[in-house]
Amino acid sequence: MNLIDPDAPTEEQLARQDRIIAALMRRADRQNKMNLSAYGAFQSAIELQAQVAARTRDLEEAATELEIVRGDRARTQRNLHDTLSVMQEGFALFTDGHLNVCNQLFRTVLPDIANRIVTGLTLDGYFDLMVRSRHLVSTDHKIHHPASQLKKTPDNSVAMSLMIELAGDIWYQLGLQRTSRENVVLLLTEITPLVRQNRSERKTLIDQQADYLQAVFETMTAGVCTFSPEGRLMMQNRQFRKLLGVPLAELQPGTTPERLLAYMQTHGLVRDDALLEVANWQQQITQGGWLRRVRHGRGRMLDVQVNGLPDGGFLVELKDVTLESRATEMLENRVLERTAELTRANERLTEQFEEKARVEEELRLAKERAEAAVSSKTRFLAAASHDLLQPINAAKLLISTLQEAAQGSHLLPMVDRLHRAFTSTEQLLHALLDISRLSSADPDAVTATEVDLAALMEGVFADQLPLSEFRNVRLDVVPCRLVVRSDPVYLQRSVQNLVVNAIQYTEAGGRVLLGARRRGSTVVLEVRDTGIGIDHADQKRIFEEFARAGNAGPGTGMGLGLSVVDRTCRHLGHALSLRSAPGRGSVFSIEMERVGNSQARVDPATRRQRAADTPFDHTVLVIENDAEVLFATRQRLERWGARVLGVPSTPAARRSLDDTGVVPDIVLADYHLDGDDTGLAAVAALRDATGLHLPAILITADRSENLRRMAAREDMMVISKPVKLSRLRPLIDWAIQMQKGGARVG
Amino acid sequence: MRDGITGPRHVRVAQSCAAYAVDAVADVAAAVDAGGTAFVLIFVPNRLSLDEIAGALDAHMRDVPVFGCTSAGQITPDGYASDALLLIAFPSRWFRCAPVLIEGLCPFSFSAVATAVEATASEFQHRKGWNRLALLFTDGLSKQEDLLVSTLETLLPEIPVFGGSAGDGLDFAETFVLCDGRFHTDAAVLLLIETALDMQGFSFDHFLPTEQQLIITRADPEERLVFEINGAPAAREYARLVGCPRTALSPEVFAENPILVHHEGSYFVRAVADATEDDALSFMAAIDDGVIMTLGHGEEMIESLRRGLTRKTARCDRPDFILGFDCVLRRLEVEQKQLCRPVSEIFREARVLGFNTYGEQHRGVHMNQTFVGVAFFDPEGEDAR
Repeated sequence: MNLIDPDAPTEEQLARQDRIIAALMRRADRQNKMNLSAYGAFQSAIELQAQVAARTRDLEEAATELEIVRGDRARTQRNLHDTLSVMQEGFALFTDGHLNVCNQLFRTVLPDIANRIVTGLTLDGYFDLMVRSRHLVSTDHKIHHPASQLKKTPDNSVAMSLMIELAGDIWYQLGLQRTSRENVVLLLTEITPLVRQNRSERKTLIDQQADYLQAVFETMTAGVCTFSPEGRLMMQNRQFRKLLGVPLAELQPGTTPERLLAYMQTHGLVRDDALLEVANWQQQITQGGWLRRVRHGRGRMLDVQVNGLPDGGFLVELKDVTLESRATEMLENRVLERTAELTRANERLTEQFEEKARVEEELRLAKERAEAAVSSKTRFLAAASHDLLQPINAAKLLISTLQEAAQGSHLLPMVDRLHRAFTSTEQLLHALLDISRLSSADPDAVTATEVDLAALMEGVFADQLPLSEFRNVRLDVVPCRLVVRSDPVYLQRSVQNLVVNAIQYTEAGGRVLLGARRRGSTVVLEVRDTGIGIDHADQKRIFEEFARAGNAGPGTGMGLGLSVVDRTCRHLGHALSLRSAPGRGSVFSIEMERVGNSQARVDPATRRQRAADTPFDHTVLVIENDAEVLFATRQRLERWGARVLGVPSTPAARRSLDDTGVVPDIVLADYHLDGDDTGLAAVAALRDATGLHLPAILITADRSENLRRMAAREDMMVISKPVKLSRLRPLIDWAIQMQKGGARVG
Repeated sequence: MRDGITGPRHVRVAQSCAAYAVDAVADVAAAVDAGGTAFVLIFVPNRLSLDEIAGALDAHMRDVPVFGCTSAGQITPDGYASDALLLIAFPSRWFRCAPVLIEGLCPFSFSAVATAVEATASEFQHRKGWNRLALLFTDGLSKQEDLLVSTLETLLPEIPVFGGSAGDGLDFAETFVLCDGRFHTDAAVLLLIETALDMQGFSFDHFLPTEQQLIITRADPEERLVFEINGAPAAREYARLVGCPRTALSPEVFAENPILVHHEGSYFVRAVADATEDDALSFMAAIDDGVIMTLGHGEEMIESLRRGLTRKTARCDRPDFILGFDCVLRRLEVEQKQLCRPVSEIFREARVLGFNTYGEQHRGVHMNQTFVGVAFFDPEGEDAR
């Protein structure tokens, strides 16, 4: 756009701009006022004209549309009429319940009401006319308020469909359909040819089926006969006649089963009363059929099957099963024979079995008797050993005291020898006791628990150090921190026996090594020596009682030690093995189950081992029913510096307490006291009387785990007979210390 | 009756190129059936003496009312004419009429017009089934057409008014309207007409807007004078915009480069009549200062004319005749482009009768450079052929 002449001088251009703006401003200003000027009139006029033009345009468009709609409607109407007139069906459209349009055919279907079918007729009105028409013969179901029925019908669905029959075998189908909210279409479709054809076809079909049925009947291999609900014969086939042996004359339609049976009876055709239960037939049929095998008069077997028919009649089916039944009989007889044979065989087997059971029972009794005998022998041996140990214990204590008294005198060597003799006897007795225990059937003989090998080995080492020094054999123990599952007493005994054995069979200057190491989930404990070794021939024999290697020197024991080891290992499931070469030495190994996470318990006796030189300033109450042992023990304790109160029983202990008023620092109690009295009871009584938790040590030859547990419950330590002095003193010290420390009160 | 083209059947038409007014009137009056004529329209070329015509009409027409105006050219059954006296007689079988003479247009008095028009209109009885229209002839130099026609539109809302401003050849000196055989200046004649024929009013032009807009920055709306366009002297600025020297401005240039006013998608022509010596432009329709206008340019004339004159109704394929008011500037352009013959042929074929105006009125708007027409159709649907 080029409003201002670009060739004009700049000032002129600016001036023109100003004028343009001013003119526009004036114009804008005037625009808001009533303007009666010529231009204002022009402006109003064109404004109006624009509006009129718009209106006119709208009007023209509307008119055009109206014209189109009118044209469409006229055309539709025309098309409808054309269509209706060429339709092959009677058609009527009811709008809002009133006849809107219909074709000629619709009117003339029922000629007598044709002139009453006019526009505006209601739907119900039409049906009224139809029902009253002379030409209407029947409808296939009742017409019931079609208009109200229509209301329940959604659009575009058939509200009603019925077949109507007109005079002269003319048939129509009447369909009533709602096509929209207000429109309902009624269609009359002629179906006469369809109906007639259908009818003739059905008739043909029925005839064909009857023939077909008769043919099927006749050719059936089974004998078949049907009866009507009234019990009249209807159809039967050749096979039926043949099986029954009744002539055709007797099987005419209408015959009753009773009459048939009467005939059969008179002619001897019935050998079975079952056939005569005619009265029951009917009843059983209703309960779902009837099947019976009957014997026919001419030696035949028949299966008679009676089944109900849908119309209430019934069907009798005969099957000749003569051959089949003969075969069955034969088979059944054979089965019976076999069964009898089997029964006899079974009886024989039962007798044999009973005989065997009787023998087994005898064997069992014999075994029990033998076991009882062994058991009693073992018990006897155990009791004998125990009783023997008592005096030896006493003797050892006395000898010990004697040894100290004879120190420096010429009697000492003799006393020493005496001591050794008693020690051997004691060991022998222990071995015997152990063997007897391990031989008994007592399940309590061994008890596997967690055993700290370090403590065990240390204990054995300490015990056997004097022997090794005496024999001038170097004894070493390899320290370890392993815990195994085993019986602590018998394992200790076994190891000790092996070590003693090794020392004894090693010449002076030799070595014995005790050690253990892990092997997977097990621990192998080994006792090695540089001894004389064992001949290959002897390696198995040596574990037997009283067996000794051929090269064993004199004075090496009675040979019970290894037997104890062997039995212990067998009882505990440990693997015992031996490697040896004569002249070079032997290695005995025990392989045991390792316990992984247990912490090694520290044996208090071991820990206090080296406290022997500390003063032994304690008051000790000793309860022991054997006067000799009591004396010996008192002697020993007093030598160590203790004040000793000796009593033989629980009542005596109580009395002593009451009389002296002295409360002992510790109680040493023998487990087996006179009568029912026990060390456990004594300690309990003393604790009760003083109201103090007195420390107590139970001394016993009984090595059962049961007792150990009982003692542990009462917070008592247990020490085995014969008492090792080297262990007793530190144990007493430790128990008193613990009590003073108050750690175990309660 | 030449070239196989028949004339209208429901009006009588006569023309005369006689040199003297008396002869000319005598010629055309012969065609009038005094008894059956409701009224007569006469369009006068500017060469004839108006007094003589008035006298002759008095003598010849007697009881038949005669209306009309001076013209800037005539459209006769033969097409364009410059010096023909044209007469159209409207038979009372098809037409009836009530005239209103509006005198003293300047200054314009709304109330005087209203009084005169309403009085006549209320007395003009409506005949059932007949259509109403109004024809307006106005002093073409009165410069009051805008007010007048919009006033009439208001006063006669039900009646379409079609008008032509009287012309004076190309002289632009003096124009007259004829009412009851008398010529009046500073006046207008309104004819309220009822017809039994079907009718259809229309108008068209042949201009399209260009992109060039202009703003009137100083004007005298009363005198339709524009002194400044775009802040520059109007004539010189117009010359610059149409691309011709100031000295070359002529009616032909004005005819070809009209100025348009835009309103709601429609463009209305404001024609330039002349350029004054002091570089003002005088217009033939209402203008105002501050108005934004658009320069127009001519469309192809022949086809737009043919299209514009093709009229039909539901019953008739073509009109019996068309009464046409054709702007003198259109005619100037036709002549300049030497299209007189084809345009006349189209008029003839379309049976257009009328005159060249100094302005046209349709739908309450005074316009320039348009063709305003009323097509009349046989009510029975008979083709006039």
